[in-house]
Amino acid sequence: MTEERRPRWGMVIDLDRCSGCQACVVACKQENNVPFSDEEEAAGGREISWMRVMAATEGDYPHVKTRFLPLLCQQCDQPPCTRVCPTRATFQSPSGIVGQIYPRCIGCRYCANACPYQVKFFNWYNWSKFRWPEEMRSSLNPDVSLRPKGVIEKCTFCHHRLQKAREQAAIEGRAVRGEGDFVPACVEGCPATAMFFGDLDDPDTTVHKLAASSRAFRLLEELGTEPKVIYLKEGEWNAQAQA
Amino acid sequence: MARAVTLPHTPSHADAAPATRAYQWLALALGALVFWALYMYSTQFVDGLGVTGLNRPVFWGLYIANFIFCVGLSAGGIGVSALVHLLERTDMKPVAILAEVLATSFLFLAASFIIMDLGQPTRFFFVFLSPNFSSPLLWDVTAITSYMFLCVALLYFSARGELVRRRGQGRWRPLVQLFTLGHTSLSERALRWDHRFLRTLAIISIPGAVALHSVTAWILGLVKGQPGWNTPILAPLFIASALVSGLAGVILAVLVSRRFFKLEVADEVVQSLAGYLLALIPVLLYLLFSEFLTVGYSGTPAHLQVFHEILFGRFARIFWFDIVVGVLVPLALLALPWTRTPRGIALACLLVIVGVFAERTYVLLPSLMRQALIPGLVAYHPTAVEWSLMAGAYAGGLLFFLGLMAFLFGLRSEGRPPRPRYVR
Repeated sequence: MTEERRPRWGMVIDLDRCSGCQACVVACKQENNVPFSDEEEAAGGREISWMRVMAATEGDYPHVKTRFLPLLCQQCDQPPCTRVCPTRATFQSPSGIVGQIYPRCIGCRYCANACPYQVKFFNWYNWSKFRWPEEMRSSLNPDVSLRPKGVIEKCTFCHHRLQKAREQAAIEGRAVRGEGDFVPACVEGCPATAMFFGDLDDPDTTVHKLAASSRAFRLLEELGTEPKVIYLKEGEWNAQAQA
Repeated sequence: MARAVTLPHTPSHADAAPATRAYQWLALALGALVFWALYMYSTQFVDGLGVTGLNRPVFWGLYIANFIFCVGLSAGGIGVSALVHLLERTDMKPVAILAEVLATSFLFLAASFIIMDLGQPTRFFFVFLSPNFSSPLLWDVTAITSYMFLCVALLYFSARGELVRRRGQGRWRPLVQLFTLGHTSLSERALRWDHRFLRTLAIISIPGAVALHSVTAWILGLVKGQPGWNTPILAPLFIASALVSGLAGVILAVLVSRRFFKLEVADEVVQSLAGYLLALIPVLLYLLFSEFLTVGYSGTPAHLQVFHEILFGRFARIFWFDIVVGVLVPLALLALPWTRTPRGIALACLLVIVGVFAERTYVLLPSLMRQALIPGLVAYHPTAVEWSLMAGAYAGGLLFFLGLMAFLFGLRSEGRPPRPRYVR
């Protein structure tokens, strides 16, 4: 397939709409065969969750407010992780998605240390081989490979869905559209329509328009990582209503 | 008196046995430790790195701290040997050989700590199969690999003549043939060529040692997401630490080795090496002070949080231990004439080495524990597996060092070594 221009896939998350329900977290785990971890492992910082909802509670009773921030791989345009990987196991695809080649990863965890967002996860145990509950095996997604112990894994913007969209587009003899052909599982699962996905460079997409909003900001922008996940900050009316 | 006084160099059979036996017991104990560590490593190999105390975000811990420490000591050791060869100090010739044995041992140790740290150790060679040239880790592996060849070459040309002279005849002959690659000539011409090679290698090894340890520092220093690491002073600080720990390691090894091996090093040599160490320690202190002043004065919150953790937080004990016991006490021991005895120097060197190791931990860990988007600080407690592997690795390194030393110089079979002369 020949493409004039590669889409630059990006995500916009409207924090005003996010209710912190964690549907995106569950959708992501189901979609990507993310291994389960028990309480102890989670408390010890060993759990794997490509999508997390970070919560920060402010103020005192009765004026308490909890803010939520869904945190996933920021899919940087200038990723610090791909630079430091000694074996090119973590890489950036031509359409800007930062991926991980599991069979090439030596497990040095340098990329995880270089990532300022802490969204690279390490397989501390032989989860997929020994610890996947038998009754859950039939629910594994055949499109996503299981990871062995000792490698890093991360959000891929549901790259397998993009591949399917590409195949479909090829059948129909067209290019993948900037919006509507595919969305990652987290965006699909969001009941509050707080997440949007599409080609950031295509002027007709929702994400392109929302990214230009005055509420738009990106995490740790000062580091120059150029993330492709854009957040829309919560409206000030919230604070005024409180006061 | 009728009874003859035993001269230091008269071999006495009654004394010979205990010395050799003690050496054998030590080797046995070290070997047992190595096997214990191998067993512990097998559990890590099968079950994954979950058996360690590492977590997210503290992805690197004791193994990497030890790796940095060992690379540093090795680079410092080679620095000492290169200086001896370049300054043509013939009285320090055995010191150079010893420094090279030490540097080689610690370089192998460093490599083993890297292997221990990998989640997929069997894929290590992928670094060469699909290299990413923008990765500092790739350059570190390249530096260590080429440096290993340099180390072994230095040791070969430095020890070849000495080895043939000491071990060329008798039952060790086949092994000497093997180690010298059959080049057992002691002719004037052969020795002159050894010397020429040594000078060239020494000249290469000085920028080599600087490169080796700077690249190790840049593994941390080039990461912009880690405020505590991302400082230009890290490479000079690591070089200073490397020289200090390497020199202290060499002096300590000289003092210990001349008691157990047939290695003659005069007190004057030890004293002059101690003098270099005394001059180097303040450099370390100065670099640390410069870094802390810059961070404290400018008060960038992220940096400040890391340094607060070091100065007053959970790393305060390790930090102040390093400053007092690892820097100030050795400085006093080396500076005061009445403590600058071989025994005092040995103690100072031991403290310096422990201090530099402490420094490695408080440079590496606090940054990892502070994460921009994770509130609070995360804990890291090394597990028995990590401590066992660390102990086993050093036991193996010591075994390698002792074995090589015993082969090169021979055990001092007469019970008591000659009484050291105290020079002030």
